[in-house]
Amino acid sequence: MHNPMHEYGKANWEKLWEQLEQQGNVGIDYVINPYLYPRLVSLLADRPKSLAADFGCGTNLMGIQLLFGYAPSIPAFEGLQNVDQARFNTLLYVGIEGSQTLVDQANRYLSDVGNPRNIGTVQMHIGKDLEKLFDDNTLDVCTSRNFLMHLSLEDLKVHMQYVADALKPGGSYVFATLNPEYELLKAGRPLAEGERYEFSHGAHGEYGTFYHYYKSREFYESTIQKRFTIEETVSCVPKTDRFQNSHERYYDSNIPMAYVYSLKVKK
Amino acid sequence: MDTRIQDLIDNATKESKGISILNTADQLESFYLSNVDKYKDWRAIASIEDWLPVNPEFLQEFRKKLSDNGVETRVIFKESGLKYEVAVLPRRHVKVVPDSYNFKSSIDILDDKILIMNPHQTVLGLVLESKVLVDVFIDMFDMLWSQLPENA
Repeated sequence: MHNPMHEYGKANWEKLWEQLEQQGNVGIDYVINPYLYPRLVSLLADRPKSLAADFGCGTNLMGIQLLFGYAPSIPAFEGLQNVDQARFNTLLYVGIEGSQTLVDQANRYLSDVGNPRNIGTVQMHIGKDLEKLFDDNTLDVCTSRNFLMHLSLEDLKVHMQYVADALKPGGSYVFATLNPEYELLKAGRPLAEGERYEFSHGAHGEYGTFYHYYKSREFYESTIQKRFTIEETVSCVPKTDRFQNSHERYYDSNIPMAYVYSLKVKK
Repeated sequence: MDTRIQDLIDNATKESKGISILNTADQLESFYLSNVDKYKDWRAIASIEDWLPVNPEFLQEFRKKLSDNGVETRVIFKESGLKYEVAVLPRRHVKVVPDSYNFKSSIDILDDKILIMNPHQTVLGLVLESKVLVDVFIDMFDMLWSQLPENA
């Protein structure tokens, strides 16, 4: 039976998302990844034979980039010394994605790079109906990027509990999510807690329209803190001036576009 | 556990990677210790003076472990390395080349993998799991071994 909760965007959203991932995107490559990747790399570099999960991975391009990308050409890897160590340590990076279309594309990408053994993609909708993919105390590192906005209030609670259960003691969840204030700015109107609304990607929605559930920062953090300690929250503001004219909205440090949270499970 | 996840984990753990990088002394030691009881033969061309500073105690202990595990060990190193042969160990055989040779790397040649190690490089060790390469290295080592004189 069709479940509207599993609609992540309007018509053609999967194709547009795939294009966005493939072509590169200023917001992802220059605003979010420079804060997300170093933290993920640092975690993986410290954990031999680590098992990592990426929730809402899309076409798993982040995993492919983290493990196999040509580091000198990836802005988010600039200055990082431990990328090789992180790659060596990663026993398995599993991407979890609700859209079968995107999972199929992920598998084509992995086929293009020779089907490496240490990365895979699995289709599963994430939310209160999620069956247990992982046994408890299995994962070393979890991540997600611009995914939590797609979860309803209840689904976010379930997701956080699920991740906390799946992580080993001492395990970490590092994720990037849009700043709720930025979402309000884009929406141009007040949003109620838990309200499902349409978010337009790109300055004019040229990258598609996606369904988000607005959640305030207070809701996020109170939900998180039931099972996690928030070790760090960083504002994602571009580290380069290159896009100040074309993407001025990203440079407002009072309303950063996104945050990267580093969480430690309470176990 | 979902069977798809279990299959991914099983696949990741059982397959060799082809090329692995060792960046720390702990990883290097882990490589040696995890292989000490897996092979009947252990061949090595070593620059002892360059290997020792990584962990002097470990090197001597590992030599003994190889002997205790009944591994036929053949090592070629520069003549100056003889001073680090502190004990006569069963099944350990060494031959030397003149100190005029300048190599600083060490190579451990096992039946199915090779470790190339150099503490002066960014990457401490490189593990190559390739049947094609291993065959060549084994033959080259055996050729060299046969040409070198027995130690007095």
